[in-house]
Amino acid sequence: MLELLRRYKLLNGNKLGILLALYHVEGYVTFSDLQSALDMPKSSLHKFLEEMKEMGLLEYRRAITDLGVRAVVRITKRGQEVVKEYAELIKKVKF
Amino acid sequence: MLEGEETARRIVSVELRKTLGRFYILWGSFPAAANIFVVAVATAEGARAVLGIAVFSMPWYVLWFIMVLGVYVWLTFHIFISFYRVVTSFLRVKSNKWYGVFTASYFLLVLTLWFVLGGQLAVVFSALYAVGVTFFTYSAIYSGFVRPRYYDHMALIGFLLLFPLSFVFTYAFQLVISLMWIYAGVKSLMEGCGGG
Repeated sequence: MLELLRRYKLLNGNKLGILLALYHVEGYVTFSDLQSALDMPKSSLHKFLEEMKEMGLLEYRRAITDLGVRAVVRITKRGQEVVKEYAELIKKVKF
Repeated sequence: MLEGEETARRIVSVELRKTLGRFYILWGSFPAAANIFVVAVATAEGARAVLGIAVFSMPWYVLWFIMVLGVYVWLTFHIFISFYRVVTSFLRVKSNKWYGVFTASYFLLVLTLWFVLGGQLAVVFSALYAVGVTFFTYSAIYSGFVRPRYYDHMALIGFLLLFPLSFVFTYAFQLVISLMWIYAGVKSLMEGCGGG
């Protein structure tokens, strides 16, 4: 499992948490919602999201939402595969 | 890894509160959507009296009601898919694998019996329906991901009491329920967006 997390630079709890949450939430989540849930500085969150985008785990862009133009994130196919792999490994550890 | 799951739960709880908000607003608007046709029928009856042209009749209203109900049930399923995925995932706090199947079966049974056995038992079936809505919404709220709020209790207990009573006294109670649900929906969305 550590190998999987290291490969995708997910050893940071916040980054792993963002990926797991996006897997369970249908569609896009706004940057401000993530920030209010995590209570962390904008710059740190932006850095995490950019890194995860570079790894191909997230789609991170600006989009038109109900509240106007906002930065939004969504998990990619690769991100979903990583979470599925993680879930399988977790099952083996927990049971 | 545990820190990651805890972080995920925090994000998911914000999104699920917004999900509840959408659910409240959706069903808060149901009486209005279902009864638009009643207004249309009444208007058409007026036209028939004057012009002698039959435009609508009660079977059309039943068809409209079933169509609206179908759309709302489909939207509810769509809204709650995130909840279902979370409560059956490894992020769950309390395991509830049969939640979706049990919920769907219960409502299908109650609504079918209500339609088949008709209006005389409306109080009984509306009470069973209200118990189902209250129980299943509370079980989603107490799944461990969202914090129960006063507006959840107001919307659900209000529905549990007023919905069956609306078939005994006055349908105006359904308007009160609508307002309470829309209020709970707006408050939930505000909380989800960090302004509640």
